[in-house]
Amino acid sequence: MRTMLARLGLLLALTGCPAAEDEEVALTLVDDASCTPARLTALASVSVEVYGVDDGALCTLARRCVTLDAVTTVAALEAALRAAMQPLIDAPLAETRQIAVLGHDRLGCGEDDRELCGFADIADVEGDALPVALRCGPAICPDSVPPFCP
Amino acid sequence: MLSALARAEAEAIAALPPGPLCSATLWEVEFQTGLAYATRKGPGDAERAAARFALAWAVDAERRPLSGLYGPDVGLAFVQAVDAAARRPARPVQVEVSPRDARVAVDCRPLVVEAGLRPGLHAVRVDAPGHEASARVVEGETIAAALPEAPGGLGPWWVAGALVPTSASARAAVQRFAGTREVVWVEAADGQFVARRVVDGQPRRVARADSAAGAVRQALAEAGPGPRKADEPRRRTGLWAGLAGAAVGSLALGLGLGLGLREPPEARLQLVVR
Repeated sequence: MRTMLARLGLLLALTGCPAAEDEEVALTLVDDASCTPARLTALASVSVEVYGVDDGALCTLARRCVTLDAVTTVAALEAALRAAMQPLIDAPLAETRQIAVLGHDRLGCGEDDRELCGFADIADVEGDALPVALRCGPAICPDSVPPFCP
Repeated sequence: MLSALARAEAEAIAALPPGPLCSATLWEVEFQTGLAYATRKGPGDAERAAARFALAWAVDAERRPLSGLYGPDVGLAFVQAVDAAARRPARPVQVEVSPRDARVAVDCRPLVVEAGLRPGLHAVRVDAPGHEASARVVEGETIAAALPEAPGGLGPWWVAGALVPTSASARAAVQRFAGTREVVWVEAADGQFVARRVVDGQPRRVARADSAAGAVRQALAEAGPGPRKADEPRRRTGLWAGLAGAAVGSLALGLGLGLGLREPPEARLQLVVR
């Protein structure tokens, strides 16, 4: 009897979760001719970053770093992100402005090592998917990204 | 990627003496190595990843992966590895090193033999003045290293403050460097300076004074007719006494400069994958 009550309580708790307010957006990585196997293989880690705005300037709301193991295609890069625990990032929707996918040629998703990048505006969500066009090359990516939001 | 991390690991263990910089650097290397194994997903890679996470924990028991950056799956794998490692009790450690007074550091800390070691991987660094250091990752509780004598000068041990008269290796290294010349060791103790005159590796005279120069003068002045040849001028002994005296001052200066100039530990790993 006690077990049944516990299960009923859990069921009520689960059904009572306000899930309708959450918006699940699926990233879709769009290939580019510049992302050759040689450039992709050089990547050691990839970060997915969410940018917001603070005092009129972009700032980083959240960053997730995933280690790569010799990816040669954008599909493999997407698979590596898929293999990580979902959601990749859980950030406040109202504050989100941009999504960035940055490939790093070093581990740990640090600075000054970006060899791949793609940016998308959160307003460009189509249905529940957000396409992110990727480009590769040392001169493509910015030297710095927005600082973390206060 | 893993080969680059292995090189970084070897360099970090060899170059960094026990302390916070060693812990910060080696934790990051071992954590990233564990991540690399976990990402590769080859046969046995899950166990290798857990072993590296456990080693990171052994290096710094308080540090954890940034959950916001690496996600909960990485954090969970790390905690599981730490939990499994923590369940394994420490075992008696076997130490077989030569020279016998070599300093042994395990996981960026001086080894405490009485505390034993947990099973698993350990970063072991063995060094002694005048000898080439041994630095590697070993598995188990046995530490064995026979350090070969290192050619060249005494600079690294001088800077590290390891050239102390209480160390047999230091005495031997300095005597090798000095050859047949006499050596005067000077150190500060109890608010005074103590000068020890050593001839052919054997202590001959100890003197105390309020200044290093005074102690050295006394050690030399009170010296009887030693084995020094008549044609070897005393100023040669004086030269070494001066050098040893200067060592006391420059040691503190060198340590201060070294500690002040070294770069603070950085959280991210600077490795290039080629």
